[in-house]
Amino acid sequence: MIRRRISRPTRLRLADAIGEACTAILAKPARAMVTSLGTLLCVAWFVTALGLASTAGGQVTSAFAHRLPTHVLISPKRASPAPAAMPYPAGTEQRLGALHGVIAAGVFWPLRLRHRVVVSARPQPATVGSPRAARGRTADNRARAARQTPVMAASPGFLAAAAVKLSSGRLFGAWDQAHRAQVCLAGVVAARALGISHLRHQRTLYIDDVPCAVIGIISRANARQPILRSVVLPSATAIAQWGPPDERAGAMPSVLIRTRPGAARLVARQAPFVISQDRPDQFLVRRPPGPGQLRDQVAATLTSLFYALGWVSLAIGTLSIASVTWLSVRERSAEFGLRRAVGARRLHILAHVVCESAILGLIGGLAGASLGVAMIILLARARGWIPVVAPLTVLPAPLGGAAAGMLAGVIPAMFAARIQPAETLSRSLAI
Amino acid sequence: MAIESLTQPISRPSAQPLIELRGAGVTYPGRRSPALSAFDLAVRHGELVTLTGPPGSGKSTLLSVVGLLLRPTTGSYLLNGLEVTRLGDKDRTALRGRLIGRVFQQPQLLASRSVLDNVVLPLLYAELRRQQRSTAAAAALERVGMAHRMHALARELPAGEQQRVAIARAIAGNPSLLLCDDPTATLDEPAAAQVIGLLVGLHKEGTTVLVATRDQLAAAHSSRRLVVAPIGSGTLAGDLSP
Repeated sequence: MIRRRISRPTRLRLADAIGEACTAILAKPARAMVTSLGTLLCVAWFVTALGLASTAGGQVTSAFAHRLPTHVLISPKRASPAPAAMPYPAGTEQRLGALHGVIAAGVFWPLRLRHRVVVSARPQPATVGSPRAARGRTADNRARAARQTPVMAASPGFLAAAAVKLSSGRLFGAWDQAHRAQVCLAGVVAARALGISHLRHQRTLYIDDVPCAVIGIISRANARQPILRSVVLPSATAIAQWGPPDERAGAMPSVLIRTRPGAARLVARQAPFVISQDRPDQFLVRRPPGPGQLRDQVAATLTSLFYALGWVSLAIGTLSIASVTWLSVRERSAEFGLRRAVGARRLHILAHVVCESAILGLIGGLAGASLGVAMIILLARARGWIPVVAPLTVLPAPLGGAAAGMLAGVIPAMFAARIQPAETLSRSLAI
Repeated sequence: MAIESLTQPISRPSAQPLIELRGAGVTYPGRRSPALSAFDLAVRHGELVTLTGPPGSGKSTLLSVVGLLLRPTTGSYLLNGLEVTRLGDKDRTALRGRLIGRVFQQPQLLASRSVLDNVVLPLLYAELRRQQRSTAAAAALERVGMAHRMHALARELPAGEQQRVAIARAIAGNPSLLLCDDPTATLDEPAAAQVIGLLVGLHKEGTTVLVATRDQLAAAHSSRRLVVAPIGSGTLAGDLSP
């Protein structure tokens, strides 16, 4: 009879192990609370750290959104074989303006002719070595300015796209375009060089001997900063006076598009197709490098920092649970000795302690996750941030607590499993 | 070593002893003198044997060997003819859980658990369903007259009742062998008498009972056969049969 029974070892069902663990926890709620406290705090900190990582990442994204590129520049890849033809069909600006995210778009090109274009405040442009240039220093400076001042032809849409601001005067518009008005705008640097400080009186600049009334002084432009050193005249006037841009002379016409923050990337992809459905690949599209990479690096650094803090806290929490569980197991060695004496195998004792530890970890994890979410909300509100809590970090947190508890319980459980009943049963049970 | 014994007819005579120790000795690690030295003992099925001797004579060590909580460092131990000294832990645990019930000097109850929970404890490892466990535990409590307190917390019971609950826990799995290590040591006289009466009653129902006690009177009242344990390596055997 005995031989037959030996072949059938004692068993402990998983449900019974869990039930025993629950009963043991409920029998000593104070001890359970102390053990869970470590898990609670470490899971709370873990969730808080991850939540703060997400929240801080959101803040970084928000801060960088204001610095995203808002301009797209389009130009032909190579000079047009037909010198008198504009590479952009009529209505380009209107079609680009209809794209989602586009604020304004306009064509511009540097006015370059086969000869040097000279800008002067007088009818006869001064040249180096002329008798008038030698009269004085001011005249000499103005002569240098006349030689060096670039001239741009631009549509009114370009002025809007470049977000041009004036210190005085007005911008040219559709009327000036339509009537090919001989007007121009002077960049603040160019105006100073040409001796124009204000527009209280009518001022005229002679561009390649064509008189143009200065109607405004440009003080600021968000894009195309060289505009401040240039004289800008309506593109229709430029075409009327000197013909279409001579690409072989380096007067490559480009389109400047101003977009809403974040839309530049999409607009840059769509714009060539809007300009030419047949040959979108003939255009070179450029947009300023955005701070996306920097933003991603900053966000990644912040996230990894918080993650590291979270993992360190989890490790410390696991160690604290392990130490409390260890003390608890030592205190209960007589109980485990008794269980061994009445038929529990080492594996059963191990399962019992690990189950108990995992359940305490689960309870601590649930409470810790709730506390962590509350902490994230409170801290974010205190800083005026938008709290971001990723469900993937909060929902598995109780399971993480259970896993930490289970891990923390393994070594004490191994100790408990090695308890010799004959040594411990002389003590009285205090549980 | 000779063991004097008074043997009265037992209810279920068997050809081979249930317990057979042959020169069993135990020396604890780090100790020079043995706690138990070359002890011979044979207990047949259904016997009630009382083991008595002065403190330190090795009674508890002997019970631990018989109860498979200790391995003898010398000699051999046959349980129902099976050499169990060198069995693995899993087999020894199985024998301990299924064949042997133990009552300790102190009740060793889980104080913050109910009486029923305490009695159910060994049945957790016996592959019984919850209902079967509860029924068996209730029956054991009925046998020791403690069924009416099954839902009380163990710590609420007086010492005598706690020891009766401990006996119920020991017999809940219907063991073939009941080992009692000085079960009356902490009890007053009426409670001790109740416990002795219970053990005698279990013996009459067919359980093999081995009791270690310092109380000569209790031994004299309970035992059909009495073995006086040796002190250390010396041999002291006597006959105190009723």
